[in-house]
Amino acid sequence: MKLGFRGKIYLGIFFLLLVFGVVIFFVVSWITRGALLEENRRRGASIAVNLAARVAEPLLAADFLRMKNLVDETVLLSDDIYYAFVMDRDGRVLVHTFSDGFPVELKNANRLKPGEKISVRLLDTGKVMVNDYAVPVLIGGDRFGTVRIGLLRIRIEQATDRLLLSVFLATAFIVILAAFVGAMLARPVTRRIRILRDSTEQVLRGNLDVHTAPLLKKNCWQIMNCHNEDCPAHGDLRHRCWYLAGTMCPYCVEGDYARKISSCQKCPVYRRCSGDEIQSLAESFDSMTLSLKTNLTELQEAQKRLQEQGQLLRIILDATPDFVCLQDRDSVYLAANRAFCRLVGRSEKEIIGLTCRDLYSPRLAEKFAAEDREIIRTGKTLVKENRIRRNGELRWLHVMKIPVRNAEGRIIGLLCSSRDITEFKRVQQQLVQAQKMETVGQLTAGIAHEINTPLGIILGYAQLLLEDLQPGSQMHADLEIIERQAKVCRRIVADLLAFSRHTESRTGLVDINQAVEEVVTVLEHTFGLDRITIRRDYGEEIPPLRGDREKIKQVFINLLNNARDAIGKDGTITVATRFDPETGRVCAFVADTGGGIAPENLDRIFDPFYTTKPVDKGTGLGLSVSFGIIKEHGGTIEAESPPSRATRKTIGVEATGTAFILHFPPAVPEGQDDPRGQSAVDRRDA
Amino acid sequence: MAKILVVDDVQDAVNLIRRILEKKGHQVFAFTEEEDALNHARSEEMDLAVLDIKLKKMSGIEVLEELKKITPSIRAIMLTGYPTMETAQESLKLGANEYCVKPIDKEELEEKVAKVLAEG
Repeated sequence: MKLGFRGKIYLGIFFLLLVFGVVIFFVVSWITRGALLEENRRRGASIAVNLAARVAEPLLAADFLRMKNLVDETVLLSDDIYYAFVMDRDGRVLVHTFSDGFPVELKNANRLKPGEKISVRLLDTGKVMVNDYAVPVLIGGDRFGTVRIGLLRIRIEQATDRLLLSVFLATAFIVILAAFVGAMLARPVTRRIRILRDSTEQVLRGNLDVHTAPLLKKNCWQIMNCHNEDCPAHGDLRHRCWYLAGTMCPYCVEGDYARKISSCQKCPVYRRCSGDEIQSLAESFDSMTLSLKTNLTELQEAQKRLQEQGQLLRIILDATPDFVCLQDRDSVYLAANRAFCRLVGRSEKEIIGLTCRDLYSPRLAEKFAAEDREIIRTGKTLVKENRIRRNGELRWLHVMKIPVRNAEGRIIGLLCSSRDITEFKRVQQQLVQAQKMETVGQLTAGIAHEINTPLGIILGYAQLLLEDLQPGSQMHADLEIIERQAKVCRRIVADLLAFSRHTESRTGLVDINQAVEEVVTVLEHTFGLDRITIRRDYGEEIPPLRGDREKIKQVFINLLNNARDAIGKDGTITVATRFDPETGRVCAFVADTGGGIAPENLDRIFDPFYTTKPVDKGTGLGLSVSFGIIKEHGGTIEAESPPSRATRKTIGVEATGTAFILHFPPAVPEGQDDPRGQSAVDRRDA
Repeated sequence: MAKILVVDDVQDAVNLIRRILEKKGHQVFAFTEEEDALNHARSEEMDLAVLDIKLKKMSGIEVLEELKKITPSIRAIMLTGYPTMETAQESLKLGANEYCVKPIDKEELEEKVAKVLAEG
């Protein structure tokens, strides 16, 4: 049977006291008994000596009566004096106190040696134990007789027995009392230790909210009369202020327990509230679990944050369309993002642990492995472009392989990030193409311009010659052909020039009224020769458009030229602009009083190279170019032939000819653009 | 009938215009060098100038400016193979009366010359 702490204490105390008691008992009784016996002996001796002294004279005078009186008196002195008698120098009993006759054997029971002052012997009469005292009667130094006294031992024994009993009882009482007191003391100790043990078990189970230390009668804020609620010790019934860091008492030192404690020990709060070692143990246990709990919470939060970050990273990696994978020094895959997995057609779990050889063809794998080795060796990032076939399509990948270093700077692997740049490449190619086109355009412009001069001369001379020849003659007819074809060349060059001008563009804010007016002023001179008037009808408060001024003007040039061609001679072209607040769009109208367009052709007029004009009059590019420009500007163009009722009402034209209606979205305000067409910053068309 | 100054950097072109205009009865002075043309204008008052915009040293517009200094009332027709709005506007601003795109039509030129001279 295992004993608890309390049991051990009880038993320990008990046995200790028992042993102690027993030892004391025996020691005391032995001493006391000895003392008593000694006392008794002394008493007996003194009585005997006393009697011997008093009997000396009667003995000498042989006064037997006196001697008898003396011995009787002596016996009556105390009831433990059993007998007394006197013997003469020859050993004859002179007087005695025995009522039933003198026991003869007593005479020689205690012999006194010559010169001995006293002789004491313990005699056993069979019934009782008697201490026999023999004292010589000395007169002048000579021994005249012997006095013999007998003292009952039983009295002594009784006395000693009583004494021993008292001692025994006292000891027993003390033992019990002490055991009781010990138990009383042990209980709270064991209880408190048990509380501590229970708290430890709680902590083992994971519950860090333990309360081991007892509540104080007065807490630190009550003692110091403090109302500072910011202090961590304020209101905390369970934790002592000297364990808590950051307390705000004027006595308190900054820092944690180790720094505070020496000054705390001088503080009145500490003096008042601190308890014994077990209480201190309990208090420090509580504070320890508190700090443990805080640390644990912090740790858990840090772990959670880390997890969240990890997840965030994962989300980012999986969201990017780039193909990302991580390999170690031996090119074994450590991680791959979703895009990469899709590319190679396996899940991440499958990929981890594989090498290039498992994912690619042997030739490719060898090439990649060699690249990887080189990167790891030199520590240089590799940038390259790969062509791959995916879903039957040819795609371009921009690949970056970056060496990954650990904290010490050693290369532990590489990160491979690839991006599909097929679109980009396409755009790149288109840009190259566009630049080529631009160069071609510029070339064209130059060439066209150059051609114009000799062309003009050919045309001019052909016409001159025609004047001098007979119409109807073969030469005349042949020259006419030359003239005609020269004119065709002229038209082609003109359109080519117009087209090549489009490659240069400047975007800005355009005031449509201004742009149209510029075109009209220039053209009306020419148109006037054919007696064609241009009627202007500009709307007011028209917001500026965002676009290329030159291109917009080109559109109107084309439209006006078309109108002129439609009319031939003697007519009116109406040019109008309006702003429609409902749709928020700017409208422009070019209407002519010409021949109109047949309904079946209305759909095709914007097609490139569609023309109703004879070969020398038009190439058919004008309207399609205009259509393209308007589309670029986010607008629409349509033709009505004859003009619709709404159009007629809006711009006041007759129901003849053709009307072109253009719609433009107004400019969204941006930056400091000058509405006169030149933006503060030159911007190329997107 | 009128005195016309023609300037173009290409000899053949200049000859062509002269042929055309002389047929119409005008007195034509043709030059390929701007300086020569200007000197002539200083010595003899011209009624009309037919100028190519692209010349050897100066631009036709500059020549027009100079001519206007010499004879403010001089009329002008500008020719160009590469018309831009800017040049058209500029020339019109400077007082050119007409603007022709090369290659010019013989009839167009004759009409324009007649028109400009008629404006007086």
